[in-house]
Amino acid sequence: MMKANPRKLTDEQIVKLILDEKESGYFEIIYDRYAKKIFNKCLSFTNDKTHAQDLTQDIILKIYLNLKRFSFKSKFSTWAYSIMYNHCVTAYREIDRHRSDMEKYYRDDTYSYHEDTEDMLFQLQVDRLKELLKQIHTEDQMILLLKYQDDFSIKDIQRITALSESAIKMRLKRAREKIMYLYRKKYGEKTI
Amino acid sequence: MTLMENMNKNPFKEMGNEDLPENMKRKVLTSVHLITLLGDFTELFTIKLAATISKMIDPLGSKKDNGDTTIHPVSDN
Repeated sequence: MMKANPRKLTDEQIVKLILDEKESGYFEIIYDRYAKKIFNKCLSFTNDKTHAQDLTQDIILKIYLNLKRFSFKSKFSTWAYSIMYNHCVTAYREIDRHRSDMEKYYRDDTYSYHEDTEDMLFQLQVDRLKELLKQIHTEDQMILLLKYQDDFSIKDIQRITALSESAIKMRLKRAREKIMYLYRKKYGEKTI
Repeated sequence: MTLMENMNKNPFKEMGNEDLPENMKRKVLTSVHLITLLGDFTELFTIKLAATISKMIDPLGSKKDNGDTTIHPVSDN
């Protein structure tokens, strides 16, 4: 019987093939599906392309090394993204310490906004959004990107980050507010 | 920008389009292949090592093989 085209298989079926047949060649399909997405996430944390590439390489190899631990109980995408999330949060812990200063100003500043900012966020120019994202914590950036770039549901983000549903909703809201706060501070009130 | 375009605008989607260099794929897949080879080698090496060690700590092992477990007295000569 002829084998189905592996490119048409789901992520989970490919992982099963890799594990059952001990054939690492199938991992190329996983690479093609995820490398660019992971790289672009990493790029949003740093301006340095080489650093983003190194980070991407580490994450992809970590995914491969941990394949045996994938339990097939969740979607492969959420499992792989949880490895990326944990790796990036750990890698940027030091930088996040410096970002805490900004967090302090945000909390103390009576000018901060407490309204729903989703629509406003979507009106931002790409370059400005990129720049503002780099100023907030890695965890907050990641949650925003998972929600608005990858369209993950709150339940999926919960599996990726191991945070509670209410914590994710609160973080999303606060992350949006922080972006708009930083935006207004830098560009003023009216120029979106 | 029309109202429809404005509604569909999502700067998050627009910012994730940077391509990876082609040599990166080769690098990663070579590493994956090496990890697999080394993994198999390590597994084989571990099995052989375990078998060798178990023989060393079981001095009666070879005697048990032919069923002879009697202790022979050492001759005075």
